[in-house]
Amino acid sequence: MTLMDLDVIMKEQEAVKTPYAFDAGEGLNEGTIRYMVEAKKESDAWLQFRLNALKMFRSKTIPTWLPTWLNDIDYQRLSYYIAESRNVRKTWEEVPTNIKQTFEKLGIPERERRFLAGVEAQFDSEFAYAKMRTQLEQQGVIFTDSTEGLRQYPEVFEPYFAKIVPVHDNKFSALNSAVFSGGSFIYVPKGVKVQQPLQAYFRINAERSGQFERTLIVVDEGAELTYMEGCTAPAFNTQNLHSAVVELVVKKGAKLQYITVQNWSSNVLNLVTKRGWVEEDAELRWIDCNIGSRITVKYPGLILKGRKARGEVLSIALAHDGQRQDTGARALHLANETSSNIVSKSISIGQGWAGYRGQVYVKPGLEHCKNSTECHSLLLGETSPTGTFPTLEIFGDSHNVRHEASIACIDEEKLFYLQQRGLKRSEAMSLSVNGFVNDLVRMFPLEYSVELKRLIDLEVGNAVG
Amino acid sequence: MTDNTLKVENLDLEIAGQKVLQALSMTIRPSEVHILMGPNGAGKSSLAKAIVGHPHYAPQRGHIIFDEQKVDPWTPDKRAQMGIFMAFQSPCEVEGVSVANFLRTAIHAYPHLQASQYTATQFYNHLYTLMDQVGLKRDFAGRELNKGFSGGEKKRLEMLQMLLFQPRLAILDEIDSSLDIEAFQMVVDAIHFLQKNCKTGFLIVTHSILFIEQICPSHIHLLKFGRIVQSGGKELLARIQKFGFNEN
Repeated sequence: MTLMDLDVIMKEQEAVKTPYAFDAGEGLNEGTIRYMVEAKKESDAWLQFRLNALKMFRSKTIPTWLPTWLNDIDYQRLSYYIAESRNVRKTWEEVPTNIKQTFEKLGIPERERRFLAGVEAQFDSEFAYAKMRTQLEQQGVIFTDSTEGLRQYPEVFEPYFAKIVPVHDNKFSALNSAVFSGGSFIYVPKGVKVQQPLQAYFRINAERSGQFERTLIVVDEGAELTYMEGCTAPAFNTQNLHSAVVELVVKKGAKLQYITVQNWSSNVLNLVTKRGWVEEDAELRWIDCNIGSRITVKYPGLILKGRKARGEVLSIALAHDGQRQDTGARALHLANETSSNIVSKSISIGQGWAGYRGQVYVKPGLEHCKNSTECHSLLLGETSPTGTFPTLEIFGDSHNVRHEASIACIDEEKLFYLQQRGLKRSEAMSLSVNGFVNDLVRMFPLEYSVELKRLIDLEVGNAVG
Repeated sequence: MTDNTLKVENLDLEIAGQKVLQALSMTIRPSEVHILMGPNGAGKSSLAKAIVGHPHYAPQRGHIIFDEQKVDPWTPDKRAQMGIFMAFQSPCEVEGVSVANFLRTAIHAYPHLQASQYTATQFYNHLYTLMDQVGLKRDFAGRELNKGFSGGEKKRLEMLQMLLFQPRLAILDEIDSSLDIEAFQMVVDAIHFLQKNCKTGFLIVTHSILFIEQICPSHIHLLKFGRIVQSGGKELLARIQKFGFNEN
């Protein structure tokens, strides 16, 4: 059995029973936030920050392009802070057995041994485990969670915290700012090239709960990092809410690759704001793969701030019946000779909605910026829905901007041809779908690309029967 | 004991109100080579697609029997796994799927190939041998399936697949078109090789007298307006050559 088989099983698997040392209970109000601040032993300044964010959250509405049923989320029926412990273990032996087993089934400790430079494993609101190779610690790499990051290294993180994604950016960035907990805070010092990826794993275990991790990664001048995140949850009949904010800072000449494989169960509302700040001659690449969740709203962003900054958003989205993958990208060109590349491939199965929504902006007064955007949709059913909603605002006449979109139904003649060669219809469909996304899947580290293919096989296979 | 005989019995096929095949019957035994000739639109390709189970070519009446089993309700893949192969006139292009990966997946569909016993090295050695045989450069193994192939290269890959899968019945739809003289000989050799070593029966759709002469068929059928109007041996070929399809 491959790791991804287990991943799918984990989606179906029941939550583990574990005593929670901290539980703010259902509902969202000032008391919830005071409870969190108390539990996390945060300063008054953070209490005020969170309370302001809560006000902002209440005053904001959801974007008009999203399905109206998102207005009906009953925020009082969710719990916002639930943690089995506030004790982040540095060895798997110390992690409580049933929680450790959850992560073992997902193959996390195994991957850590095989090819990761460090792992953080978040279980509901807090990390159960976090460990990085000693060599990186000695090189000054910081790999911690949001609470500890802000407490222990304020000079590193505070200058950027809530600056790339301001609290008021949108309703869900405000919500996250009010109740954030967990998430990776990473700093890679000047010139340090981290060879192997750092990985965070997010698991929601408690029913009717929200996960609000906050990630901030600063890659200093000339440094390099690959970061990967994965996420799953048991399938509950009630809703879970996942609303993360991810802020990335890539300084002069640095490189950062941020890889997501999102496989939430189909009761999770995944409303996420992700954005990166890219300085002179630096490079940020988002590789974003969305397969799970009931709805995902996510448009990873590039703020190309320095001359010759480069950015890429490569995204794969797959939606089956009852799912909506409202994914895309944003590229803001704020300096000369900046370039961005966006490739989106979406697959709609049955009545599942997968598509692209994006913005490309080139500020007035700039010269020689480049953007290329490609959106390709593949429909597996005759009436499968998709949509492409690009917004291009380009000021200036020395730029090179290109938008290309295509929509195709799965080709029956192609399926017939493959079936004539002995492949089952579901195998033929999987092969075609995998072929459709193959050029993007190849960008993933090998370990992930193999699993991603398997996961697509399973999703397509299930749909075809 | 399997008999591997194809029996087409009284086949009626209508597509969009048009009668494409009418009461068509035909029997192909192992090692027999049947040629299907006839004017454009006579129903030659339609018969081929009906036999392999194309969903748009499902007959309204009659039966297709292979190896003593009615295969009419079977999906194309099940028929393929029984050993029925079709080489297409214009095979589909499949993006993002390499020739080698596709073939490694496909061989597992055929029990008689015992693909699970192949190591990767054995598979590639076999594949390369076949590539040499059909005249495809080895770097085609890594190329996307049929994508950007010339007409002749697609045909060569169809022949490679036929040799790899060793079918019990092979249907070749105008395999000889767009082939150069060298490829032409390769196709003839491939047919004779399977006929001899695997007792493969053939149904070959073609317009080329030269091709038919090289193949030495056991049967020749003339198809017009969805009916077989004449069947015979080599003597029929001589008459068609002399009088064309319109004699009857």
